[in-house]
Amino acid sequence: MDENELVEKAKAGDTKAFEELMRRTQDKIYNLGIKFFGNKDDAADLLQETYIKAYESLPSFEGRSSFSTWLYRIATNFALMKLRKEKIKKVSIEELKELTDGIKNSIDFYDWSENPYLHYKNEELKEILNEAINSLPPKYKTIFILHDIEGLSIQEVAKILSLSVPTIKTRIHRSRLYLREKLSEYFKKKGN
Amino acid sequence: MDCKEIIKYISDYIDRELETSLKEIFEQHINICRKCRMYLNTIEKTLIISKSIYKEEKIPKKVKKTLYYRIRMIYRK
Repeated sequence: MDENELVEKAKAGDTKAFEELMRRTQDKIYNLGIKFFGNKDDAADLLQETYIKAYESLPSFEGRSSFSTWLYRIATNFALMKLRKEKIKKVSIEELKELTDGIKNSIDFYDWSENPYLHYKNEELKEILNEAINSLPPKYKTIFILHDIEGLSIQEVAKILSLSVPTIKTRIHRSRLYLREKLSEYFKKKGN
Repeated sequence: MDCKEIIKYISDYIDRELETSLKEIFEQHINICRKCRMYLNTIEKTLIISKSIYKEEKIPKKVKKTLYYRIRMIYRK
């Protein structure tokens, strides 16, 4: 049965249809939670809150986007609220702006493209990058994860977050430059 | 287009969001400018490493059980 049929049945009160929709999407939502929060407990919270909210809001789901996109929207809004509340951000939005404005004024062309420490099994490198992603302010982090990690298109991310395409593009761009800078710092320390 | 502008358009280029004429100018610059070519290369590598951080996790049985239990409690309401 296709997704639209299941949604229609679920809206009509068929709980088995709703659970089939859950089964089809739950792994993606759980893993999205792991990426947003970096731990299993918060991912489990996100999973539960997403489906509870989805079930309760099902009557108002008009099918203008796919069910999965709608779920991503619920999950991302939940993550944004939680991340903002936690205030675990190490870099404020202003700091990020400062930093990226700095990049704009003097571009760091440090070349680490051939650095011997650059290989995909370098766990230290992944750790540095993971920390850098986690230090992004929530509104940058969620977009970076949805687009660059989950592979959603810019248009889909704009829809999920109810933001304009140029806003999404700017935030993706800034996040990428910022993360590259963090790796540059690492390679500078390591030397060539 | 100078190096500063190239950096400004680098994400649009990666996302294939540059219109044809701009894309051509961008590529012309990248072909002759080693610095910008390296910059593009390192941004792309940053993205590849970012993706490699995450492994697909299975939902623990206990978490799944709680999820379905909570949803079924809501059906009853």
